[in-house]
Amino acid sequence: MNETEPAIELRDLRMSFGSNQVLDGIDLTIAPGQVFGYVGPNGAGKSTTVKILVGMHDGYQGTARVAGFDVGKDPLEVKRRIGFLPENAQLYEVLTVREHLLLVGRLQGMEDELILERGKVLLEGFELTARIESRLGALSKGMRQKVMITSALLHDPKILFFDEPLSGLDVHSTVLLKELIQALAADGRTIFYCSHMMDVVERVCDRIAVLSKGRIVAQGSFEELSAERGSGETLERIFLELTQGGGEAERARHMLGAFASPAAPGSGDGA
Amino acid sequence: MTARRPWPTATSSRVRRSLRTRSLGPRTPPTRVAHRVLCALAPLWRVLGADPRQVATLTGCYLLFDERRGKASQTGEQPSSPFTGGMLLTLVMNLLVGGGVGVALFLDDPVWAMGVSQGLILCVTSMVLVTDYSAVLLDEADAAQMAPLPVSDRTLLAARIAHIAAYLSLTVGSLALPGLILGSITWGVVAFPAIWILSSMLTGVLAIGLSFGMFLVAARFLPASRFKDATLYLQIGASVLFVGGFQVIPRLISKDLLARIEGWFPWFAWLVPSFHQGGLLALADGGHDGRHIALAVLALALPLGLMLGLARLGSRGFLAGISSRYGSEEAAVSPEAWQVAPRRFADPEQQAGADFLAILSARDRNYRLRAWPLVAIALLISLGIALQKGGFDDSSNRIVLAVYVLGAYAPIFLLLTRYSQDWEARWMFQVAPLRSAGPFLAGAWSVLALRRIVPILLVGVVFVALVGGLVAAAHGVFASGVGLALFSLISGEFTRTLPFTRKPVKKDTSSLGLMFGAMFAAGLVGVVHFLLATFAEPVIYVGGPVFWLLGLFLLRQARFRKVPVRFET
Repeated sequence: MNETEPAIELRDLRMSFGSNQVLDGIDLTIAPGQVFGYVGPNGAGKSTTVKILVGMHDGYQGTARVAGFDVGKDPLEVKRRIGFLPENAQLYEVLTVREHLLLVGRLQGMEDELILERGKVLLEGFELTARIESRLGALSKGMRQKVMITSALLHDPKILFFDEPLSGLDVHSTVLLKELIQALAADGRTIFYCSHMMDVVERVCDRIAVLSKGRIVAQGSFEELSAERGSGETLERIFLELTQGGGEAERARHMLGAFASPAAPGSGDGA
Repeated sequence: MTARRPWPTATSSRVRRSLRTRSLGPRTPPTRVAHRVLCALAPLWRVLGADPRQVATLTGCYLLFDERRGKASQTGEQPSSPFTGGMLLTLVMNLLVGGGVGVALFLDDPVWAMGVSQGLILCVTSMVLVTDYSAVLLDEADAAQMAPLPVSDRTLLAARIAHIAAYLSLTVGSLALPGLILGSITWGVVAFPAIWILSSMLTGVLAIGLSFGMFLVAARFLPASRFKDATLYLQIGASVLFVGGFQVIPRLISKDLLARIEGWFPWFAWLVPSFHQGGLLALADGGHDGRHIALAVLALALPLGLMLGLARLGSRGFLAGISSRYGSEEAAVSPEAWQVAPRRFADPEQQAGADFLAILSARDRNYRLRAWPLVAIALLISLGIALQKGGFDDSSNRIVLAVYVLGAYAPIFLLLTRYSQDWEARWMFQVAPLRSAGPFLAGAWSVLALRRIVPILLVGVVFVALVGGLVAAAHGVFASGVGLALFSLISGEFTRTLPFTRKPVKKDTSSLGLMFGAMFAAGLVGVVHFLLATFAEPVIYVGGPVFWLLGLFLLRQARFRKVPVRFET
């Protein structure tokens, strides 16, 4: 991949599961060194897009290129150049942190010395060195997330796919990861960032694509998206407008009506 | 602003109708009847300190889950519905076992008749509870949902026991039915059926109390990580005892023994609960004495006391015990943590496969639960084949046949490595740049062969050598070499699945086909070997090393295979 070549390129990407059209013609071009936010409501097709890009799904139509390689034709070349942090991923819980890193590193063709050397630095950053011999099943959700981030970075990939990377992380780790993402991007790495946390996407991402019902309904930098809809809008408001949301306040009031029934248990005086 | 999502302002008539008519409970007639019976036991739940309404709700929920899980629940880790899968086959097997149990009722002494027959039912039921139902008892899936709800430990425990009791009644019933018929012939059709049914119910209660009591004690006193291991060892032990019992017990019973026990009131009748029930039969049959009355009192008091104790003491901390997921491991770093260990394979993928298999086969609960009893069972069955009345016959080929049987078991270990409790973690392999799974598999199968298969085969060879001498040992080496070569051939040529990447299934019938296929192949090679050895004696000594070398060669060659990394979706 040369400097001018897009890190990720999608052309008319379509995917359906039976009669359900999950992706309906996605076009995207992401330059190297960008942090690209990919947002959309539940079921919009974010995870499907990511799984296609990392080579976990086939049976799609259109073109998907990562690091200059066609995902369908050269999946191994793609996998050597990417790091993937899935949302809610399972791990082999009986492995220790050390064993997990060795497994992932070796599958990437790395030598043990390098795996441990890099693993040590990354785990130190996450303050996890004391748990190197702990089994993954004995770690909290946040700790497991840190281990997964470590294993995604271990082979020094040029393109990273992060699906809800802040899930389960405490405040310190969240701040650390946001800093890390920006440092990785400044160092020339591309980050494909999927999340529902609009404020983080707004702050961290250089460009943002909003996905709705399998189609991209808007893309650009946050400033561009905001300018299109009048200045002062947050990404959350823009997102709600684009994805036909809204009326949440009215719905919340309606929900409160559920407690008006005098027979409701646990309502104190029954009022 | 674009169009907003519609918000329902009134409950639709369909939803209202559904809320009115659909209760939270099972839908199919047999389970609905079972649920109603459990609900009718409200006074019992109250005595045990549980909330009968909550017990009814929870059991209704559990039975509904069972109906909806269907075949999908037949996994190693998830609790399964005993109404699904091979339920009918299990009941037929139970009836056959029950026929054997019922024969003991032909004994003239009521204490021995009930002691042996109900004792066997108690053993079988307890083992079924430990092996098949402990996962239902200790299921942590809904523990997180229960924790914030006002459900007491006693209620939760009672609901789970009630849930299991719904299925246990079928197990006990099918085991006891032949005894009901056979016993009525000997003991009459008036009082015996009532005593037999009452005794069988009490046996069911005893089985729950005895087998689950161990788990509850362990849940209360052991930390989460050790508790999981303890339950696993209990399950493995029960499986081994179950199969071992069928090998050993028939060899212990003789006509002389049966003749000797008539009229003998053994001291252990006071200790073994099934013998207590002999007191009930003696009372119903007449001709009882003070000892029989005392036994009858014990027969009624012990099960009820046990259940009461279980509810009062065993339930304490039950929810916390099963839901404590994260162990408090010591956060200490050993100095070796960052040191590189010596490697056996130059290829990192091969090394990854070797280490992965070594670790997972030692720690994966699903694998251990299936493979470890298999080792014991294979050894026991081989021993059973070699063992004749009066001991081992060193002139017999049976001792060598035992080694062939051990070899035929080897491919099953291969099949068992398919499944894992953490099968969903296979995504790691999907996103790894593996051109072929061949090197990874070659590393994995080398470890499986050298650490798991070879030691078992060598045990067989040593045994044959000790019993039969040099020639038998040479035959043993040959038989074990055939076993290893079969394993290497199957692992190298036919295995296309990365280990520990499939969802566990309760029964894998393909392993039966492979086992019989391997037995046939091993037998065929064995016959040819014997024939050749008849004409040329050196064949006896040469054949073994040749097959061992062939097995090791096939293992090494596996790394060159082109195996795509594919998973079932």
